[in-house]
Amino acid sequence: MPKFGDLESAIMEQIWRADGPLLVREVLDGLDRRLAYNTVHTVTEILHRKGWLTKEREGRAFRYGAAAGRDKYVAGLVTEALSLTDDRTAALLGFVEGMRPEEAEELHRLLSAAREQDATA
Amino acid sequence: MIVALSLLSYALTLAVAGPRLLRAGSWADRSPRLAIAAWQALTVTVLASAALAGLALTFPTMTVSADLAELLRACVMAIREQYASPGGAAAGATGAVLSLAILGRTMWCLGSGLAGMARERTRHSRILDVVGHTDTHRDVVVLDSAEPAVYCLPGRRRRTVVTIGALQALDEAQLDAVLAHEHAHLTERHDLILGLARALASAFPAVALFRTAAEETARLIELRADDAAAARSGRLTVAAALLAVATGSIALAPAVALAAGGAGAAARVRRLIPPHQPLGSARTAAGSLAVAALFALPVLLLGGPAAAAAGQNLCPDGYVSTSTTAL
Repeated sequence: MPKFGDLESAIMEQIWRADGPLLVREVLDGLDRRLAYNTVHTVTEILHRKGWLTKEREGRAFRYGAAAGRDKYVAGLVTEALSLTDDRTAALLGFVEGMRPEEAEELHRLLSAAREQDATA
Repeated sequence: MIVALSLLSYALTLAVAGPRLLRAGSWADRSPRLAIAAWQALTVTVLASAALAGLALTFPTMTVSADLAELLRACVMAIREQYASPGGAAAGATGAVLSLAILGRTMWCLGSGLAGMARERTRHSRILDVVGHTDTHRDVVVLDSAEPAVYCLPGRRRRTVVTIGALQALDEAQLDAVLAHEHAHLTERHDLILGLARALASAFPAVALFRTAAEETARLIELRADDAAAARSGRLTVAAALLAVATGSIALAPAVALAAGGAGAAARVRRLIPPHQPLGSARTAAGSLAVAALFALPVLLLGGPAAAAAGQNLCPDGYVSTSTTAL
């Protein structure tokens, strides 16, 4: 039995990969797993409630589409990670911030000089 | 009254002179771990001294006694005596307000700060669960973004996140160094250290000390994590990794990268290039003692007069106490 988060992720993956909104049946076919229709349907509904998926009626069933592209979510996360100095709560801790090009150039020179020194020593 | 005033002046002196002392010379950069502890000790001591000063005003006399009933009676006597005069009552009320305001404000801001941190982390984590790929080999989450970025989510479900852009910018040794840096953040709970410093800064925005402490803490935890990475991968490797990630983001999104403030990154690389000169063990020990003394002084201020007055009987005739003491 896959973890709930994994299934959410797999369903989103299917819908992002598709050209347009999908029926639950189509999502299930793409998942290539032995999952019950009801399980996939429930998780799809949860994703809709959480705002990840849009839902439109088609006949007696519903088609689910992505509320936003995957790139948009990724970009949001990366922007949060890069604007850490504005983050007053310390929820995330980053590795390094940006640097001015002229400064970077000088530091590259200093670093290669130090490396050469290391190599000769 | 004297105890309250000396505690208050101690808090004031520390708040004014402390930051200057801690920022003097290069010792903080050479031993960031000690410096982080020193800033924490300084801020907590200032806060505690001010709160204790209020307490000393409110409860002028405390008794040390083995007998609880006796202790309560002596306390009540002393308090009644003080509050019989209008001046004493006013001082007591002021003290109580001061203490409660400081404690309440600190608790409130700390609580809301930590709650906000947890909320933000949960929201970020949920999105990450859906869009991130788990690399079980390196135990990181990979994001499909050309922007080089590495960061970690501290807490119960701690994770390190690396973008494809960062993976491309770094070689194997550099990536190892970056992960060691994030690992230090996670295991040493730098998020809590920084969260506390920032909560104090937002609780008392008028106190320059707390703002400075928060800024310095943010800088020092990066230095500390750099040192941890350097111990594993070598200083020049860490410097190269910093350069690779920091310069990578310029090409793609200069506005975002520079808005985040580039000065810190360059200073960190500069610090790593010359050979490391950690503080000697003697100076580290001296520094640790100084940090401990910061904490100890308010306790001595409270306890000193109490010890001096031990044995004095401050209660009215007819009531005999063996060990009543005054503050």
